[in-house]
Amino acid sequence: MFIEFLSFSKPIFQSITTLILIVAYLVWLERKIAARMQSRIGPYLVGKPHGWLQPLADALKLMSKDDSKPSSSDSLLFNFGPIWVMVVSLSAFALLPFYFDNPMINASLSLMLFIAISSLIIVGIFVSGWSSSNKYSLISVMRSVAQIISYEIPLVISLLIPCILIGSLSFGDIIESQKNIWFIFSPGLGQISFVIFFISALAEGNRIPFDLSEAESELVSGYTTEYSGIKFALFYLAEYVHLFGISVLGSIIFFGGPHGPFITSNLIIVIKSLVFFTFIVFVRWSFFRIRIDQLLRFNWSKLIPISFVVLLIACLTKYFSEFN
Amino acid sequence: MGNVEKSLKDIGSFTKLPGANLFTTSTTKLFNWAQKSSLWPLSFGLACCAIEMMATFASRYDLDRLGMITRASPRQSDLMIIAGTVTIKMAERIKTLYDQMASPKWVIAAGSCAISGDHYRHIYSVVPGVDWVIPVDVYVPGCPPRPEDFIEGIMELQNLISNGKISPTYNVSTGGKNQIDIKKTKTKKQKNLIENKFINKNELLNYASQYKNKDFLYLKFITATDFEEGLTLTYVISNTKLGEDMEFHVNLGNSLEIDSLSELFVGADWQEREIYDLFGISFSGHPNLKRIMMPEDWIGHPLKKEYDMDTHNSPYRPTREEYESWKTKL
Ligand code: SF4
Repeated sequence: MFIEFLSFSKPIFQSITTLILIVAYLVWLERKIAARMQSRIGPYLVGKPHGWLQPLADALKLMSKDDSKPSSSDSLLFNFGPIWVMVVSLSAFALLPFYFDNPMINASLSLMLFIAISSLIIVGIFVSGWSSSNKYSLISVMRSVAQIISYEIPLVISLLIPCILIGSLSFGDIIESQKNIWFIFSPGLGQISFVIFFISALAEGNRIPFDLSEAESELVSGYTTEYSGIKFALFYLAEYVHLFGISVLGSIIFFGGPHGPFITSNLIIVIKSLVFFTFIVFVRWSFFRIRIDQLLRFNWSKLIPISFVVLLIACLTKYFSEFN
Repeated sequence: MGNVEKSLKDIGSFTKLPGANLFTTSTTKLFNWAQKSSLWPLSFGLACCAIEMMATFASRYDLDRLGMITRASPRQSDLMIIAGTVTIKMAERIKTLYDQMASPKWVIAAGSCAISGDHYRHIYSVVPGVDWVIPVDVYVPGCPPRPEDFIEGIMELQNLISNGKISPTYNVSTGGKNQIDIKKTKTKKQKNLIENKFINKNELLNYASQYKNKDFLYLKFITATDFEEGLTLTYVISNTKLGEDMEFHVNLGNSLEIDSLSELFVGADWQEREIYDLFGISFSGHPNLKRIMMPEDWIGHPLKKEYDMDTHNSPYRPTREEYESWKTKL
């Protein structure tokens, strides 16, 4: 029984460990890129060639730190928030063809399921901000909810466009159809839907220029203000897991997944999503933060109408190419 | 492999076995190493030293090399760098922030002001050394300490952490780095002062509004001086179009009341509050005459000659006796 359980859970442990390792070094990568952009060096002395032990030191330190909790907070929800965020952002990876032999990718609705699961993160964020009984956390999660819910619409629509053209909601078919030409190169629709996807993915991942829920100048550090130690580490890691998930998603839907120029392999997905992630980091360190009303107005009055028009065009294209 | 071995050396030790390397360490050592390698400071600064601290974080000196990134929330930060003059009003905030930090937490007092109050230590509103408020681990002297000194202080703190002991008084010697290049500074001459005279207290409003009609729209400052005979107020207003200033003084004598100029010049509002706060002159007609700098429950007006230094009401200032004994100890 126990042996069976072990052999069943081995791939799960494997993938979670790999994922956490990758994500820990993504934090390191971001610090390095940020330093490079500000003509600094970045982590260097902790682990001699370029601070390679830095993620380990950070994680161990956060683990050994005091676990403080405001006395007026709701302790059940307060502890539940970070765990929920971490579990949800990790379990979304079960559906990504990160390992190509992953059985889930050929499920007929795998893309749909991925979106459904990853949009549950907001529950954890809201719960943690609400239960910390801190005004900054509360304002932060209210912003967060407004932002994430409204940007979900263009995100989903921009992902629907390739699905309509390909005619399937499963990752397996989407990857299969990009064998010869990546979706980003399909004229017109590919580029526009990628731009919409990129903007709303930044907003979904709470990144600059849309990181309103963590605006240090206004809200201390947003919904994580009251969290210390390992719980903060969970939030910190979950943010990067989510971001990496978005990068993997983008490289699968728009950049052909494992289909490289010469070879087809899992490693190609990782490389592509690392490039995608680097691009997101570039955006983060070169832009300013916009106001919440600008953010929402931009979404509801520009992004959503445009994405609906593009969706309509995609439908018409499909109709005329299939049925005429 | 050589590099890896080298970088793991200060965490634990390697043992060579046939066909393998064995790496051993103790949890204390491991966690001490982790804590010293990722000291996240709370991002706050108090005075001029903070500018130097920011320079230490920025590109040329780059504290991120040591694994330090600033955190905005005290819950997630391990290190508090007191960079600047600690005033009594700020001391309470510092105490709150320190209490909010999750342990293990360390404090570096950077700059002479944070260590002892330096040249401001005799001033009524300054705490003579932040160790009146919170325990300090490392002192970094200098006014301000150079970024190298900051980094040296942080490295001392890292040594303390990895040795597992923290002593409350620990000095970093700067090794003769404090050579100051004294340059002669030229005092600016005031060019366009067209008038400078004493006026009567009753004609102040008339006089000011008369000049306001002549395009003297900008009130540069109001200040008060306590001469032995009584208080004198000085006003400077200027015509920004022509670049002309005019200055007038009012002798208050024994009275402590004068008309407020805040109706004529909006900028007078805060300056009159400041004068009320520090000298106790009340301005009749002022919309909101409250203390602006000192805490609201402060007793007395500290810039007056008759103000007694011992009438403090803060736990962070020593009494006169404590102060004298402490000074002789030094
Ligand atoms: S020590 Fe010097 S530089 Fe630092 S806060 Fe005091 S006066 Fe400013």
